[in-house]
Amino acid sequence: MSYYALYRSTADVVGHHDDRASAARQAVRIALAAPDLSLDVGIVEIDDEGGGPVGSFVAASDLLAAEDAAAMEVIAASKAGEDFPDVPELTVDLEARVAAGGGNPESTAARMAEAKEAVAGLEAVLNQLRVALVAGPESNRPSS
Amino acid sequence: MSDQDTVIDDLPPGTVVAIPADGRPLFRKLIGRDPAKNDFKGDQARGRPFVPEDEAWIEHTGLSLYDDAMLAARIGVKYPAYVAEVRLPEGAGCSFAKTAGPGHHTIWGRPDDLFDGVVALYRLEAPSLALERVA
Repeated sequence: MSYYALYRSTADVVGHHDDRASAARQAVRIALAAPDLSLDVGIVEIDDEGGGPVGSFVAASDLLAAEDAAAMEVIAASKAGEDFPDVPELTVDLEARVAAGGGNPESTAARMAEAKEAVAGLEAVLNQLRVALVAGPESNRPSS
Repeated sequence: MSDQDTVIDDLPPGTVVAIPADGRPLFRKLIGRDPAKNDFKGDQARGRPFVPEDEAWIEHTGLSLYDDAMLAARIGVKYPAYVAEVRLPEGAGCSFAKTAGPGHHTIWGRPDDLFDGVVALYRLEAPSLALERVA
């Protein structure tokens, strides 16, 4: 028996492996690089004689959810910076960047002011809706 | 063992021998129930990630077809599965190579040419696992 790492939707094979662990590592690496593909990329065991699937398709997301040993290896390596060194940080502390002299403080302040103004406008609309709700349908019923 | 076998045995792992398309039938799993040009894009054209330590660029640019309709339908294990029979067009610059496991081939070609090569459509239903020609 051997294993494919592949995309389920198109049956595109991305790797043919002698063992499950290396197929799982490949699928999980792809899922980490493109999380939106984590349900589509996965592994399947194949019959080396006929090429057909022996077991069920296992998505990379399932490998991660099950804390599969090979998947956890990839996660550990990724956290250690061994893989995907070019992946940027997913979150940016904007205030820290501005405080550190990065970015453009003036434009950031202007955008924050615009955002606060928009929030204030939404709160005003929300208050109007609350008033209407408290008054009930009677207040909106046309007089006859 | 023939002389040709000996030569092939000497090639390094990962060697891909691409052959010009010759009109032979191969089978492609479809995303939906009807064939579309989008079905004939490889990983690179789809923007799927390339992880170089795992995959050769030549494989990333190709797409998977199989020499058996049932194999193409069952490999992803999702039903109903739709499979297109494709006659690889001669003279269109398409190439193919035997790669990966039994029945699996990698194809290189323009999606338009491969789409134009579709000659039949099959559906595989679960739980009967009966392969039916539908077009």
